[in-house]
Amino acid sequence: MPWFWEGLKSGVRTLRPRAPRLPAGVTPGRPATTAVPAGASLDPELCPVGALAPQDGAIAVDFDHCIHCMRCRPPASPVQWQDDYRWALAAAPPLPPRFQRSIHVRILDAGDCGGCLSELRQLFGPVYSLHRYGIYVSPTPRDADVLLVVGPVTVGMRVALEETYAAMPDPKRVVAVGVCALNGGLFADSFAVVGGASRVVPVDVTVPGCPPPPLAILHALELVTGSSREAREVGDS
Amino acid sequence: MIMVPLFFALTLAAAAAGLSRAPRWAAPAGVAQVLALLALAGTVLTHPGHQWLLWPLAGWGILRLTFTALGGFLLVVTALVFLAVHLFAPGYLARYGDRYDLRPLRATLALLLGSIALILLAGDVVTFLVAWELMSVLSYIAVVFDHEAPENPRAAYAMLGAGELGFLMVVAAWLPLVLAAHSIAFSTIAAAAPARLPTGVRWAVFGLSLVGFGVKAGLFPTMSWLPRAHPAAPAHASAVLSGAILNLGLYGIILTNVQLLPAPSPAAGAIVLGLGAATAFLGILYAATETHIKRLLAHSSIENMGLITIGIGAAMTFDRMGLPVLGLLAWIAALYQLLNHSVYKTLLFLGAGAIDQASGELNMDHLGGLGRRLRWTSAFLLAGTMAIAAIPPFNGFASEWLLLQSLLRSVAMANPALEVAFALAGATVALAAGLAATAFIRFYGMTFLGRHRSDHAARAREVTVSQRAAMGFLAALALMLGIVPTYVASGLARVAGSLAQSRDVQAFIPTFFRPATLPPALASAFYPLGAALGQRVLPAPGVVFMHPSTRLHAGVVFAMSPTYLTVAIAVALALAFALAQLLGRGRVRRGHSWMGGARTVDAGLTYTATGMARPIWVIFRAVLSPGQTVDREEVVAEHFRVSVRREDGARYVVDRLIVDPAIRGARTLAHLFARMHRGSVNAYVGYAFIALLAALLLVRIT
Amino acid sequence: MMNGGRDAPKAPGTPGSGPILRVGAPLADLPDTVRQLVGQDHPPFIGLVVEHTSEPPRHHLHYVWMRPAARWLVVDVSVDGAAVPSITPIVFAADWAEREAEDLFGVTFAGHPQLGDFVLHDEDWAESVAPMRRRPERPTHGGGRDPYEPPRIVKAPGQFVMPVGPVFAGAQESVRFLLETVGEEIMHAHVRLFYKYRGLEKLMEGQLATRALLVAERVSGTQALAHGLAFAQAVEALASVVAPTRARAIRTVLAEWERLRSHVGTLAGIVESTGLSVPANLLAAVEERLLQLSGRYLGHRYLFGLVALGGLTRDPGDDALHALARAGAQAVASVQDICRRLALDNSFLDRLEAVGILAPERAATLGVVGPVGRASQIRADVRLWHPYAAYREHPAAPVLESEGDGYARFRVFLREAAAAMDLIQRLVGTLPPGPIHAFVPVVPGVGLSAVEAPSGALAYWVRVGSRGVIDRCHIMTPAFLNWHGLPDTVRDFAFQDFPIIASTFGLSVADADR
Repeated sequence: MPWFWEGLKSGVRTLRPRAPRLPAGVTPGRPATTAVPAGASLDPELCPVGALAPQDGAIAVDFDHCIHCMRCRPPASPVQWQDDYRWALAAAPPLPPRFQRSIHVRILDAGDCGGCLSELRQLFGPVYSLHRYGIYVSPTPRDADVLLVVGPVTVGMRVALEETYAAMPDPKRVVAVGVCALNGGLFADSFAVVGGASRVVPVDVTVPGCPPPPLAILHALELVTGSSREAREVGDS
Repeated sequence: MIMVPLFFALTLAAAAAGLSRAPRWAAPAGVAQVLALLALAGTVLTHPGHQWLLWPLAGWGILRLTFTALGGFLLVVTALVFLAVHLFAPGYLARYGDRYDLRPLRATLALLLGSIALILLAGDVVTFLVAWELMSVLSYIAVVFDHEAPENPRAAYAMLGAGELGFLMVVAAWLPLVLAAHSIAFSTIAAAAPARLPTGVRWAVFGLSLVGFGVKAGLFPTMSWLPRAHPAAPAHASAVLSGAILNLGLYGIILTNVQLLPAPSPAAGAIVLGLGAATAFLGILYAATETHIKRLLAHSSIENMGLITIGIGAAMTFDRMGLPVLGLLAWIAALYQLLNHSVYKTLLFLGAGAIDQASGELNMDHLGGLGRRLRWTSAFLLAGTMAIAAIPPFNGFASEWLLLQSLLRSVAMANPALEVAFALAGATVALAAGLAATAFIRFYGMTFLGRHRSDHAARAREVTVSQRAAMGFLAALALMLGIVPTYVASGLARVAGSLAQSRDVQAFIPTFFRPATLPPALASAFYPLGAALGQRVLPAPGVVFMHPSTRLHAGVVFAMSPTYLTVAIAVALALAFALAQLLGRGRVRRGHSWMGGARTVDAGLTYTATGMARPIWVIFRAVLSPGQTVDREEVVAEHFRVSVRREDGARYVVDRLIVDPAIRGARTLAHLFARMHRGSVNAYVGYAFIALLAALLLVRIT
Repeated sequence: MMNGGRDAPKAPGTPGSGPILRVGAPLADLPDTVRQLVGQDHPPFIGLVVEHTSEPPRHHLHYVWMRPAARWLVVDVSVDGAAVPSITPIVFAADWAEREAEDLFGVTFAGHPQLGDFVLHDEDWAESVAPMRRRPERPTHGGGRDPYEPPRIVKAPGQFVMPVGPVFAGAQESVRFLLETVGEEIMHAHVRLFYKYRGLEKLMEGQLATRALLVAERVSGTQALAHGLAFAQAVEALASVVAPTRARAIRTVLAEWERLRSHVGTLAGIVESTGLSVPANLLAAVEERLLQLSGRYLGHRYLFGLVALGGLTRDPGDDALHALARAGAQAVASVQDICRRLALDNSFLDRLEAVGILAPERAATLGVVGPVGRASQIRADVRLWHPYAAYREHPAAPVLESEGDGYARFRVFLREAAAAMDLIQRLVGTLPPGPIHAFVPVVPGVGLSAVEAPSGALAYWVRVGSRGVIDRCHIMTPAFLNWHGLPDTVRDFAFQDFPIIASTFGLSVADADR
């Protein structure tokens, strides 16, 4: 019982989405397509994974490969960074409208380093408090509408991913969270890694990043439900 | 009246058919014998009090058969048990055919039925005791039949030994009665003995008969033979032992302490009640943790005997406390429970036989998944499981509910000590009902559901048609007895009326369907609620159990209608089914079990019966196995545990706390006496001298 | 192509910790040598490095121990296909290291009773793969034995195996627990790791060190800095380069910051497992606060991309580090406040005290390290025994408990979090000016380096070949050592105690699976 009062006394720890400015550090930011003077060359040291490429007088960013190594962060480089978090991309239509108010998600660690999983833990923790959006972690795949896959799919986890997907009822969506789940990331070449989640199950929404911050994953979930809640509440900060 | 000689003639014929080399006559002869018994029982019930004189015994009266309502009722119960057993036996016994000569067993069962009938018809002490001995020896033969397993003859011998000990106590209990009435006839004893015996002797008769007959009924503290002996017999014989013979022990207790010599005080009823509660608790506790199906059923029989005994104790107390209506209610509850137990326990033992026959396995840890292989058996046993777990609409619910209600009415006695005793017994009944539900859900789930945990379980084959018919008959009976309990209770009231001091069954079954006989207050209060629902369809006076309060001015103490409940359950099920059909049509997807992401499902990764019972084991460890588990580890390469062997040397709690110390005490005493025999002439002369002195003193004092 | 220098191995350097004592042993004498060297005082076993040469086909085994305030101990043997006598009966901590070597290299160990299915699961891989051997072709999976049958040692009527995982209900890492039981209490626990085996050591082979550094950071995302630092130090050591003073000081700040954040996360996990949701959520909010501070002042929430070979990729600046320390101190104060209240809460203490006891001798035998070890009186701490970065000038305050139960581990995590914050404040007050990066030339050879990661001693063995790329990289992680201690600890406790005990170990699966 004393903890109940402790909880009340501690006040609201949850991120206020309507606040004009989000706290710094909620998102690490990421490189943006940056216009550069014609003829300027790109230092290959700037991007060890080759996600930056000159294109039509600008430096284009290939987010599917950017691993947030931070080497191109200003002021050391000409590349501009932006602090947004709408990183997700949908390749499939959202779930039917009846899912807008509540979805149950299942998290599958297919070989994650722990970063994306930690961000997911934060997302379902007190600060981002997803329950207020009607988003719950499902204790069983039988009730799950959305599968969040983190990490490159290892040989050992391939069956588990197939099984989890098969155990979920239709309609369902799969979200690949993080670069590794998109295409294997840095681990794609390993003999023990199958590759991105799309090698095993159909992927509907992708969130790049290494790891994508909690708000970027929330953005992906909003693309899944088709709700514009995030746009309404968080606003342009 | 022709039925008496006809039945005993058919008994001999059935025994002869059993002994003949042509086994095809055995079953028809057995069925004919049972049908004759049913007809006989009908005669008995319609002619209560009729006596059938046999021959005189010089100076002590005439050997006779007497027709009583209780005897007739038990004859019906016995006949139902044997009917199912005879249907089941031919298919079941085939598995023993290549190992044993089946003829003695067939003859034994026929004669056993004859001896049971003789016990229930006996109208005098000698006929009763002779028939009783016959029954004891015949049941010993039935248990020892499968004698290749070394533990079976030992178990049969334990049963015989305990039974003979009980027999001696019964003889000792009845001797003062016979001497006081100077007659062996029960009718004379009942009329004369109570007035002529001092209270001390009446207590002695009560105590000796309770323990003596309690041995045969499997009551605390003399039931440790039962969980060994009942599983040892072939399954259909186990059904007879549990479904018919245990009842005889209770019959003996009622005969002695209600009909011959009413208990000396209400405390006697409370003692019976307490004995019943202890029996029920230990019975169900062991049933809830046992993994061998037949042992589980045997422990459950102990529990049910305890429940019936609680009802008998409550009825005796109510009668002595001047509450005849509550007495009648408790008698009905007890007899109802007895009838139900005989039906579902026979069903379950026959089911155990079917499981054994189909899979060769009775340990639930190695069974599982039989539901898909034995569709009929599993359906019938589901009925038996629900009945014994007291789940409506099956029969166990009605009787246990009546029993609980009669205990809760103890407030009417206005006696704090008795009220506490009844409250504790009521709590025991409630606990037993809860544990029984876990025990039998575990039995059904671990045997029929899930995956098979052994190869022989995977290869199980369904049993023969007549075996299924036997189980189906009993399952239908269990359902019928549960759906229309007011009819059953009204019928039982005739039997109970012969034991209780009231026949006013309408006191708790209001005649809602016959407005003319209904108190107007009840009519105006309950007709708007639909109490007359079904009036046109159902012939009974009413389908609601209801007891208006006696002490409080207004209100109903309890009300329940399993009949209406059945209708409600049926409607709810139909609705659910319809909804599922409507909403889920075409969207059913079949997949395999979710195994946490692993694909291979190994039966070794699923709960066993032992594991499912473990929480109960942990809670009641002090009773079941106080500090008697030992883990032995084998370690290689200094650090690697390669095996952990767990041994549980737990002894049955009654053996541990009562039987073993008693045997040790007897041995010590024997050693003491043995030490007196030192062979010294002087010592013997000394003993003789002391004995002479003591005898003289005794004579001088009296 | 391996050069002939291997037969007389050059002592690999470690930064600031003096040389390594290397003892070569003939194959048959290995157990005796090991018994003489470590049989008395049981120093913490860190790992077994196996290197394979194809011509001639030989396995070179290097057993690594850390010793208090002394040189690292490495015992070398070389074998050509014959069975290696197992040292597990002497050093039980080497149990899993030998199993891993057998699975990945096909080295057989005579006298080890549990070889087989370990890193490469039987249902996915054929027995003969040995993927870490030098072969031109890429190892392939398939051809395994299905279905997998879990090992069973319990023999009791009604015994069964309770499987948990590999997929869990919440945001948990994939691992499988097979709990042998007769119901209620765990009689024996098997931990089946390596569902997430990513083959990182093989992946690094042939990569430039700059690229492999990125992989190292992602071995265990929540301890990215420790991994990056350990890898960078190993490469620096073999090139005999020492990072500039300022870089070393900031590396220390970052390492302690990572320890602080990781420990707060572990504390939140422990409290959550006990079912007290209010304090669990309060602690989880602090963890997110620390992540936001990392993002704000250090650029990345998990400190990816900060460590460079030879120093740091960038300088956060004195102002940012001061602000970080100030905000961090507040966060730590609130953690201490919550934990003070927890220490008075009986329902919390009941679930941790005398639960999951790891007695000191047993802890030494099992070979646990880090906070788990320090809760059982195992003093091993790389920062104190083999100081690196700025730990020589700014030694970490030693934390030690002796009960070895869940609550002792809880207290160690709490005290270490506070100690980390103290050290950060001391360091940011005395930050030296100067460059943050030194050039590291590519030099062939072997580097061995260790750091005290949040969960314990983390060591990298890096061999750079003559072509300038990584030839062999072996990652010896604290999680691999500590998982080995878990099964013993949960024995005879009830199922519901299992997640609580596991949470007090603060284990990462990715760190062990690699």
